[in-house]
Amino acid sequence: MPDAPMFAARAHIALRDIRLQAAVRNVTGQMVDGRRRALTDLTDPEGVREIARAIRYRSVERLPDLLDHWATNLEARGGQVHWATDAGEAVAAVRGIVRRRGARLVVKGKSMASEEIHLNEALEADGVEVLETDLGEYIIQLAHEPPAHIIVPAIHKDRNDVAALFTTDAGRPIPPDIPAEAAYARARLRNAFLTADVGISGVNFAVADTGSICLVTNEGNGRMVSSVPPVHIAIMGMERIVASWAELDVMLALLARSATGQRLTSYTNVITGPRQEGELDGPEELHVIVLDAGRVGILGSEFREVLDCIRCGACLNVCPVYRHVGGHAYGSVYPGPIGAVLTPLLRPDESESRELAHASSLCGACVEVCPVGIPLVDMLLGLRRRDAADIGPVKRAGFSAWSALWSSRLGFASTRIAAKAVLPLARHARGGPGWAGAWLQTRTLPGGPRRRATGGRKGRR
Amino acid sequence: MTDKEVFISRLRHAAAVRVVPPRRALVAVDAVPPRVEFAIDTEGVDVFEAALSAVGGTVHRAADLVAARAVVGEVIGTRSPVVLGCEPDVAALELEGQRWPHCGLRAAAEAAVTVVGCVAMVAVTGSVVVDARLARGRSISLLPPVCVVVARSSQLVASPGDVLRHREDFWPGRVPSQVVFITGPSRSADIEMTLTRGVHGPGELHVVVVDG
Amino acid sequence: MADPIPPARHIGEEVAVVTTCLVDQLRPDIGDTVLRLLRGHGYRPIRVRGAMCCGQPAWNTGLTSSARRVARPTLAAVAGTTGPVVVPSGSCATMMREFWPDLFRNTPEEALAIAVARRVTELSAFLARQAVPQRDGVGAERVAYHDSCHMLRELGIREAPRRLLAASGVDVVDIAGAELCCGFGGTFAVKLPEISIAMADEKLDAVVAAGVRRVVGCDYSCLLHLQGRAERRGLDIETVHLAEVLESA
Repeated sequence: MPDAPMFAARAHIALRDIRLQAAVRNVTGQMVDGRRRALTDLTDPEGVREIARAIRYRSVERLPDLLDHWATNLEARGGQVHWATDAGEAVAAVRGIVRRRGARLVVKGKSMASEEIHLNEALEADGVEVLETDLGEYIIQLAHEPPAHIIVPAIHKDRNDVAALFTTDAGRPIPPDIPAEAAYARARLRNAFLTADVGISGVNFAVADTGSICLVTNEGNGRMVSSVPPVHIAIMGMERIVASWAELDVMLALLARSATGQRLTSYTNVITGPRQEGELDGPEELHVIVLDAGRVGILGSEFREVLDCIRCGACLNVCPVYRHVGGHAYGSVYPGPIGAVLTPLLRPDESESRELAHASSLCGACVEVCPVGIPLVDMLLGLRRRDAADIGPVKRAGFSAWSALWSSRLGFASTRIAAKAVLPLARHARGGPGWAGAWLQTRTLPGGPRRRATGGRKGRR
Repeated sequence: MTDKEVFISRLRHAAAVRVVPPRRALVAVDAVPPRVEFAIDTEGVDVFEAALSAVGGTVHRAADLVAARAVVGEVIGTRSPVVLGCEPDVAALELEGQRWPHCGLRAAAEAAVTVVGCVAMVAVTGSVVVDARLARGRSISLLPPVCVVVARSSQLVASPGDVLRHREDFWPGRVPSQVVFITGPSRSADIEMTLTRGVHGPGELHVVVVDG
Repeated sequence: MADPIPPARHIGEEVAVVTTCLVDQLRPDIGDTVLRLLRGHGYRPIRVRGAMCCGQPAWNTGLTSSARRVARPTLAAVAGTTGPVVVPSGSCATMMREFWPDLFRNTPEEALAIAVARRVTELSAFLARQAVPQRDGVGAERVAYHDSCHMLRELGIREAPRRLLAASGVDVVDIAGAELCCGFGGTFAVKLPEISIAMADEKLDAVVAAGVRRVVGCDYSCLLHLQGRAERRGLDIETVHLAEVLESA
């Protein structure tokens, strides 16, 4: 029987963490409300979603041509493109640039792709200091934890947790006061921005027509890492591309609204090359690392639409499972509904990753909010079907026996008769074998038909 | 490192695999997708002001350059040092301060306030658009704790699409190395979803809109 | 968004009813109630003999051949009827209507599955084809309504059950998180029981907070799960199927 033991074990811990529960519920609730409000800006939000879906679908269909076109244009503007088939090549490319520049300090804006390839550890092993500059990422870096949400990585940390981390970092007391904590982070990281040798960011969208990359941030660290240090390296999932600025317009109309309920984030930054003549600042070198790392397999599969994702996090915010267990329970860079589909696809050899396809009640709330209409529930079912081919005969036995029994009227009647006999006695039991036991640990079962309703209070057997 | 041709050709093989079409049919979209239509007001400086105020920026109106100079002076107050951008709209105000790019990067990093021009204002989002060619750099609108943007009311457009879909009008030939839509002060809600401003970029953003 | 209501037909028509496996196994009285309800509306309901399970639990687990094995006799039984097929369960109606064509693709039953699927309607959507009188809720019992996920998101049925309840004289109260999944999710309820329970508890707490005693739903699976949890927690909450409320009104 397919199940999700590692996820269940991590969920078990998360469900007992009252603070985590409250934090996740608060944050996701705010973002759900924000999204709903923000979409009322648009005359036809559903129509715009359909257009965005079509744009991303065809971008992925045309991926080879778009990437080719984009790279040619970026190179013509002095940008350098590195093609990384796997995490190892991507890390090697970054390490090579860092080494060549003799870089000692690297400042990083948020990049999920860089987390995928475990870039920080590799650079640190080279003796390079790597500082995360997104406030939430900086917090979890100090805590030595992975992000717990795509948009709000430190969703699970409250001001007291942050004060403790910052106090250790600062070597002096930092109070559990949010403005004071923000001020500390600003001062601490500002110096890093101004002295860093290399800035590393992610890419929200590449734009093929001009060879551009678009970065979307609120704090300004995305601008910092791409403006101040002499070298800017951007790590880009290969599928994160659109053809034109007009298509970018449609995507931007939905991205921030879907993620946080903003019309636009504070900084929507379109970069087309390194510093040009006449500009006093800006990086001398712009490198974009185009990352495959398992995506090509998805491209050639029935799950291709998952590559349409624009990493807004809307699916996380509405997922009842995510709301209860948070991001770490998924044990992956990508949590929530998108993570439950993407992780097994990017890491098909890891059973810990494959089991995430079962970490869902298939309620469909994610599909309802995805700005690019990814059929996540269909994909979860597709992944479960794929997994089912791998289950051994013993695990299959349960469902095989059930389907044999219930494919005949006699078999169907036999379980009904058995239930009628057993349930009045067993329904209050607090455990037992198999599925019935798993149910009875926390729920009762019905004892049989109710007396016919006459309105008002009803008796219960 | 993989050669570009090898990388792209591997994608071509994969993309050529026949996949089941989506369960729900895709809507047909032209090469240039249709404009995003807004149900809310998109015209006028009042709309711009409301949108920018909603995200924590401040809009000041000035009837002419003389008034603008006075307004900018008020916003600057006693703050020092002041670094002035090189845009013609800033020069026209004849303000006192160090001049970018001549003053150098360090001056911008140590400035208490900078004054810059812009390429456009976007009403529905409350954004100002700056670029690295006009500004002759990227940091001047990013590094200081307070940034004042000088704009003319004729620079106002309705929506981001009015800039993004008209790239050639704003930037004939090559697009600048950086274009930024600035939509309010720097902000973060990473700690307990509580809003703080000025985490890395300016915590105060002022836009002085001069009639004309 | 309007509920997808099938075209109106004459009263007195024969309708085939698939009472669903959970109801047949655990609460056959709900099946009887559905038949009485339809009769009361002027239809001639026929319980489909040999209809057992639609195959959804196995389908949702990815075990397609088990799902087909279980669903095949049900498909054959329903195919032996004509006219509308009324199913008092959002999830079972979804399985039959939306997914049987996929389940039986590339099998000898494919054409049959497609033909039958087209005839399937969930109970409240079926009843709401007739004009539903408006009644004010003055002095009425307050009940909560639970939107089950398939009903809401796959079938798009949101208003029909609420209108029917209001017309029957109850006051439908909106509870916080009405659209959140209750946590049943088929095998999810027993495979990830802790999360399943946490989701049920959130629902039940919202019902308690709304000061409501009865929760009405169109899916017995959700009601079974919420009732079982409420009872274990000692909460004074009763879950009832829509048919039970309408039939006794």
